[in-house]
Amino acid sequence: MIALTLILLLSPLIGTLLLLFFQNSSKNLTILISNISILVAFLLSLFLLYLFYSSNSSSISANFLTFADTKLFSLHFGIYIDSLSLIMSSVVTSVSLLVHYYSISYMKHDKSFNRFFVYTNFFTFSMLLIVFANNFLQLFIGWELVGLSSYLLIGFWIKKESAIKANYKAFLVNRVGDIGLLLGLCLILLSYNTTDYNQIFQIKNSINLDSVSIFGFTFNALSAICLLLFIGAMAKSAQVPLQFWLPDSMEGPTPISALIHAATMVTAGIYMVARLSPLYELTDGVLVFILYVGSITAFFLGLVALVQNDIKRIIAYSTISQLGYMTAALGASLYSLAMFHLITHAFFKALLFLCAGSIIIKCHHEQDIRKIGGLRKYMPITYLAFMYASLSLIGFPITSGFYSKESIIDAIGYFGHTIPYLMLLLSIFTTTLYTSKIFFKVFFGESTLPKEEQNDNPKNENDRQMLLPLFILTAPSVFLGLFIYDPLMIGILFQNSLAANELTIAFYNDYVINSFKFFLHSFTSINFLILLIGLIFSYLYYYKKAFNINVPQFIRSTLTKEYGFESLSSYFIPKIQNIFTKYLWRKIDISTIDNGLINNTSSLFSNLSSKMKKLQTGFIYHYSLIIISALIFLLILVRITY
Amino acid sequence: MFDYPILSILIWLPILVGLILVSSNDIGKSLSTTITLLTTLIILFISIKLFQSYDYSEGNLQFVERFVWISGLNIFYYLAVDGISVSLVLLTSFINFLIAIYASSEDYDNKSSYLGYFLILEGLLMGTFSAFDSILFYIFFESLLIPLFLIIGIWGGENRKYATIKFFLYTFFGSVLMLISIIYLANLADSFAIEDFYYLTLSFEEEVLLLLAFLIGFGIKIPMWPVHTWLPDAHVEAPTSGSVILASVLLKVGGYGMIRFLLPITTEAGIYLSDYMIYLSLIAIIYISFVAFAQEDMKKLIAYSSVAHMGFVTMGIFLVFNLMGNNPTAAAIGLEGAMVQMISHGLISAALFFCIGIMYKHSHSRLIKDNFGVAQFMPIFSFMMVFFLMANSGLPGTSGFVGEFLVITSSLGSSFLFGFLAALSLILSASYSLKLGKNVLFGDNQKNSQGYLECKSNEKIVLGTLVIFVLYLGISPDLLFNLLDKSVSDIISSISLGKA
Amino acid sequence: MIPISYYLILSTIIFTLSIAGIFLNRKNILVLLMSLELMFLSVNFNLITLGNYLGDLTGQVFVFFVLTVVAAESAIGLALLIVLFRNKKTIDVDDLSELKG
Repeated sequence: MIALTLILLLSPLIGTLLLLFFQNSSKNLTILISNISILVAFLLSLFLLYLFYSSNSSSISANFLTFADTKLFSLHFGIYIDSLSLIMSSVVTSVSLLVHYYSISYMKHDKSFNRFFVYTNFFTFSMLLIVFANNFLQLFIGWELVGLSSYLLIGFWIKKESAIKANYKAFLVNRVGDIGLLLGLCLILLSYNTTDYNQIFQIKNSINLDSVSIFGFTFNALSAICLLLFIGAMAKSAQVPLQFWLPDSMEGPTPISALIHAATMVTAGIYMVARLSPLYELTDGVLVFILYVGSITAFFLGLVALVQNDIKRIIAYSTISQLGYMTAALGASLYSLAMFHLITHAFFKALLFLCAGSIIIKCHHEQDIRKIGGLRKYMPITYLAFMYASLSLIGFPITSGFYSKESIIDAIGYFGHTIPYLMLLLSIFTTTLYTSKIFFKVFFGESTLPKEEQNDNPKNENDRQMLLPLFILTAPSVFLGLFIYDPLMIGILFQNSLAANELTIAFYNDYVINSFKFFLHSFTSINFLILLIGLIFSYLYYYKKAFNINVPQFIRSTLTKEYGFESLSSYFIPKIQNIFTKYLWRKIDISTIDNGLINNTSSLFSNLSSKMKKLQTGFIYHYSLIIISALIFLLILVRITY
Repeated sequence: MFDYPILSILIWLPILVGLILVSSNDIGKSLSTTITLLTTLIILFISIKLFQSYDYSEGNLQFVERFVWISGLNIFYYLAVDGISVSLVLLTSFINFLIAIYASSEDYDNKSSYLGYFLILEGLLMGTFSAFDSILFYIFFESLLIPLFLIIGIWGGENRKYATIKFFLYTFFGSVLMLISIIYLANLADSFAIEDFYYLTLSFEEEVLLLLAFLIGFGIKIPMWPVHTWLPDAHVEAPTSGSVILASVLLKVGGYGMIRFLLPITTEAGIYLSDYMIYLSLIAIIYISFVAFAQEDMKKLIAYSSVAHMGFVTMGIFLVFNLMGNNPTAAAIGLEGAMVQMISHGLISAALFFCIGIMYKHSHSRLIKDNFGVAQFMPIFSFMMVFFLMANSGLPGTSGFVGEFLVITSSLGSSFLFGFLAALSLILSASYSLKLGKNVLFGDNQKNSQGYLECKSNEKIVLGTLVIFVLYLGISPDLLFNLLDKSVSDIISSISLGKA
Repeated sequence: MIPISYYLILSTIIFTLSIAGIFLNRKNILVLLMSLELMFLSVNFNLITLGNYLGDLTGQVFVFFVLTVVAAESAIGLALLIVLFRNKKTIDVDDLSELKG
């Protein structure tokens, strides 16, 4: 199994290298190489999943490459095979495969077609590095490489000014979180001389007894490390306050918005906390912190989506909000529920983005939903796919999204976390609103397509490569939840990878009972009530335009400005940075050191010498005067001493 | 083992060929380029052989050559290498080989003298890294200034006279302080060999003064803040290859000197003053990154970036003092981190200066605002430059990460504040490196008024080889660690010896 | 006999006169050269006096050395003066300041 996993991991890497060297070749070769490398990875994921469950083996951790092996420390690259990593890798590779296939059509007119697939293959490889990491160093390496791929892909269209600004911002914000992750990693290496997951898991109780001194305050070592690692997750998974890079990352091509900024990269933080759940379970304060960060993100960023008009930005804010759900679940020690929502969200969010891409292509790169309309007739497949994905997103009963989201909300309420419960509950309303906003505005109403394209012949919707993934993704978006709900809740699915299984099992046995009963029960729950109110409201408001709401101006402007994060990051921080650094440079480096010390010293010398120079007057009698008077002086001196 | 004196060949062969080239009367560009290429290739082979026959497990000095030189003053011609020297010798020969390959892209008058000076410089650098007699070390250390002075002064930019004289006098001032200390120590130890200094017992005041003298002497070379201001001017005015050798190798001479002289000799004073010196290094890392961000000249930006990266080196070295007593493992990690950072920074800054040189060739301007939209016309070059900019900001998977990671780990052993401040370089170095990439490589350039053209094959070879090595050292720095491990532990034990 | 001090005082007076001649002339290099000769005269005078006083012939013999050197030096000095005049058209001491720092 280890060998197969290794092939799985390296297959996208080989794809990247091949694509890199054959960059100037034909498109067909690129398509072939890129899709096959991901296909291999995907098939191996499924096969390994089957092997793992059928052979009932426990988790395996093996090293395959030595990073450094010295007397002081021993660092390796390795793979960690267990249910969590295999399931995650299946999700990653499946979404990646579909996105690759989709991009064949989406990017077909782009000049840098080959370069796109180099980057996406490299991204898949880096993501798999994180998924299969068996030590903290490899986690960090994969983490940064994923950030690099994101940087390269957001700024894929290098001539686009906004894209270049966006990828710079995204990379730097991710780096802020990486400081926390790096400090956590270094603290682990320094104090315990190992970065291996299994070794740290074994000594986790003694770590909990250690303390570390930070800025003069002593903290519990385990809490400090877990908090630092979570700061990295906050940046990568776009939690408040490090979330403002994600909406701008929509500057990249839509397929990679689907792959990276919805399904996989941003979920790396969630995956990390889930993987390290044995550690997080022993901390107290950190989990509460995570819970509140998640709920606040879920609620407040969902509100921002209501005032957006760009289709991709709305879905981006929706992603941030859903990541908040996952984070809140992690904070409530419901790791398997968080992973469940991660899986279902990957599918339906990717589907949403791919539909958005299909719409964008059809409307000639128009992304403003106020300027599109009436596409139901001309894009039936996209319409249906979007509808199913939206139903899953808002949590309509029977869909996957329903099972994962409602379980989280109900479980958090069940375990007594009132405020997060209320925030997540209210978010159902906002989610319903903004999702239906897109739905009604884009698919209904007046069509804005030029007359010659108003053709409801389904063959004219879009290429086969764009539509097939939409077909394929609809199935897991709608039905996956139903199938894996029971095994997941009672712990068969994730087995021993995640800690605090007993909480989920208790919730399941007490509240849920089984998936069918949960489905029936949902119709009488307050969640469904809110959902219905939201649907009716948006139907009347967005579709029928039955009434007008006058939102107070200050609320509208606060939301439009994304609580000030936008102006902070795009205006204030760059401006202050420019002024501050220029000031430092001119005042200290140039004035004080360079001019003050160095140039002044040298001009001191030249001044001194020009003054001394005046002694050499060039007149003979001055010189002879000095000679003679020196002689007389010496004679007198000799006379005196003797 | 070898029967021929490998170290002396490494030193004198390039000096000889260089002198011939310099004193010849301009024998033509292609001939001199070929001669330089051959010589540097031979030196590279010899240094690889040195590396291969160096015995890792036995960390003592190897390939010793010791002859009486000036018997009246007890000065010996004493050459030897240990792990640290071998890695720096390899770096020197490799970078010089790349310079020789790149030389066919450069177009200067009197090219044979130009290349001759580089060969002389290479030989002198080999001497600096293998000298174990302090006067011999000092002679090589000082004479480094002469070829570089000439390279910048003759083939440099418009303001070259100011820059080169500033560079020369500044560095020379520090070295004079170093000479005084060496003579003082030699008087006490009755011998000029460096290892004899390690066994001296010195009073605390003596140690403090010696520390300050060596600190200023080597600190100017590294360069440390605040004595770094010669570096931006020197880089801006120097020709491309001059900048490359200055940034990659000459700065490391300062670090090497610190490891050889400062660490083992002035231990007590070092432990006492280590906090201040770490603060200086942190100022270099953080403050200089801010200054680098404000630059409008590409070469100055990378020059300040060099100062910031060398801040990690000095931090690693001074952390050894800080952690000697309570956490020797962390001290060793810090020193290894400093060494790896030296090698890695040598490769990365060389690459970046080559990149800037290639762009300058077309646009004839080093200002950022005059260079934009390069990626449209030079895609392969831009790909490699983005790689190097990412390596500069410490991306894991490149060698730039390893050194910083180890130094941060070791600094956490001293105080969380140190580790946190050092880790800030993650954002800061990314901010200025990517700012450079953003403004220069990306963006729209319709007219191509700068005349950008994809780089030639010799430039591709130069950059490509550097990509391969930076990647290799980033994925498996084990190669380097094997070399350094024993030497680092030997140094740590000789420090405790000096302490005891 | 005439006490030796008279001779020595005489030579000192001649020496002082020559120094005065160097300093008090601003106009003429020739006067400079002449006062230089006077200086040599006083030195020679001193040598002979003391040679006689100490009964050593060395003093008088040395005068011949001095005279030879003085003669050569005067010749050169005058030659230099002529060349100087040809180039500078003046022998004013005040104008000879090109070696100023």
